[in-house]
Amino acid sequence: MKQKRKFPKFIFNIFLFTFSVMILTAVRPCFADDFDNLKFIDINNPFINKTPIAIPQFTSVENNSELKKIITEGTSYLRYLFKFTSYFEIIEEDFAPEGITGSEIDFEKRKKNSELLVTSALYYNNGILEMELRLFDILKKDLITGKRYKGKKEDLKKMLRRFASEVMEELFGNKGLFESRLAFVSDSSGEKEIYSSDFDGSNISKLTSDKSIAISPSWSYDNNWIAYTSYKRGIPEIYVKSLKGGKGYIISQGRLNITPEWLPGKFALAAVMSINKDPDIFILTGKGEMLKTAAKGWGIDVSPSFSPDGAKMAFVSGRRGSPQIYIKNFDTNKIQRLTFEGNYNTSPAWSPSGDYISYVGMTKEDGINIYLIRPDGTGLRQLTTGPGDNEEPSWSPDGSLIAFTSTRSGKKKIYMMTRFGNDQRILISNMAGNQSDPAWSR
Amino acid sequence: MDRYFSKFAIALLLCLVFVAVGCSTKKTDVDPAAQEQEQVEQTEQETADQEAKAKAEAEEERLKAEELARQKKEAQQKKEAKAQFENKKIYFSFDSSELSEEARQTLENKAEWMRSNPDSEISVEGHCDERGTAEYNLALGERRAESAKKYLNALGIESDRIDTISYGEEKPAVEGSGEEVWSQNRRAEFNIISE
Repeated sequence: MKQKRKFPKFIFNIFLFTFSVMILTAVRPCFADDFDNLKFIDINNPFINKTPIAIPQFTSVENNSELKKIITEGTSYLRYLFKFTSYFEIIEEDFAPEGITGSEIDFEKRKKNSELLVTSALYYNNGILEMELRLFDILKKDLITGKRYKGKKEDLKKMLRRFASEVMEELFGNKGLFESRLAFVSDSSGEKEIYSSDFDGSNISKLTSDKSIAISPSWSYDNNWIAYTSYKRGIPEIYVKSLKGGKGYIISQGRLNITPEWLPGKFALAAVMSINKDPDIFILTGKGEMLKTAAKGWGIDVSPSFSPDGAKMAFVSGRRGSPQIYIKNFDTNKIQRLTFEGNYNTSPAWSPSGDYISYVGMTKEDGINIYLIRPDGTGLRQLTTGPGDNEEPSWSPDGSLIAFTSTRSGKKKIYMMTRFGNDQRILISNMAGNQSDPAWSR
Repeated sequence: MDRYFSKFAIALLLCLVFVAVGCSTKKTDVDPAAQEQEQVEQTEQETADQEAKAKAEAEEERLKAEELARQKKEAQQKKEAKAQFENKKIYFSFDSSELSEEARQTLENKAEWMRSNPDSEISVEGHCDERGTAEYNLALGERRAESAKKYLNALGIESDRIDTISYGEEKPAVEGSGEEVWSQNRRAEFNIISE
């Protein structure tokens, strides 16, 4: 028994060692004054303007050619990250700021063109990079957050993503965006296969080689699994793929096994199968063991999406004729209709914080577009307009952005926008063929 | 003058024939008259036999050809019926899996084919147009295939002879947009798995 106990401790020590030496030791600099923990930017305000943030050229007391390269690369990458969020207007200053600490900064002068400021101090020695980054609230003349990172110079981008995540957490209350990944469908190989990329569409890798039709990817909430639908064996079946290289599972009961959607925090998923008369929604373990029926009625039930606590499920049903979105409450077992506008409402996607559901609506006048509605049926907004169809919304893990599929430029491509439809732009642009069905990791 | 000549020619011809006959009979010892008779009979018999044989052979050939033609026609008809079965699709209205009168008629023909091919097993593919959600369309395609299957069931075709598969909007018959294209893509297709 004693031997067995020693083993994990040994592992733990290695882990601790690696962590402290190699990886990004984030230490809050010892500044005397703390700040109010208020949310700086309210992403729930649909009318917010972009917040101006000054990101001057990184600074260092040292001077060597290696460091100069790191400074140029690092400055532009941090600007890129903040710009990507769609919530900032970057004020670029190609010279060092007046100082790096609060007492050195000329807040009064900066008030004119900026609300936030990032200052930096870099040290580089023998391949080890040390970086101190601070974010200031110019109006309040206050430090919002400061972090110190230490690692190999190859970890530069990783450190900056970590810092940007810290800033996002301070400002938005969630740091998920820059560590997240995307899964999506592309037919660039000739067949529809599943691919994944970094949060910004870079670093694309192919996840399936089924050479048939692979669609509908869904990330488990620990991001260790992707479930998807594939015709690899002739009929649509659900594949549960381990992203850690472990064993996978195939879920197949009857002739139709589609639209997998993971349950929050569980190795379980909802799926649509045609076991009875028509397509209904069932809940199964990740291995495919049947747990219960989630929605069953006359006609089609499809496209489940769960509230963050897993207590409710939005889904599409044709039980009253045309497809509409309904919400099932698992506590009361009651089903309520959510959408009443229009004759065709599908693809519900519940936001990570639970406050909104985005979905697809089709009308004769407007074509196919993405809408937003609160789970209680209020606050309906149209997020996209033509040209082309806009569909398949998927939330970023921090709830700030929505990825979607659009045919506005001809072929199907993956775009993104803020949660209120602002700043619509292409997310995956460097791939041939059609891309669709984006799924943002959790 | 011409008349005399032709009369003379006929007489000469007759003499020659007699001489020829006389010559040939001289060679045998048996009673020439009886033999002659026998020979004539024999020849007649042979001719009759040959004629009958030829006639029978011709008749046989004719029958054979007829049978072949019939078989060919039947095979052709069978092939056409099969092609008709496989090529004739049924079409649906937007967001609907209801069978039109035309679709029912088509399915009745398909049921007839399946009754005359009792070992046949088929697969029904459900398809949708590109509009609407891919996920919803997968479910809708299944409903379309299923409603075709149900109707065939009602016409007496066993359930286990009919497979269904939905392709949603993944395999359009016609590429493009517009009602002309969409109406051709909202369909069920029929494939023969075994006969």
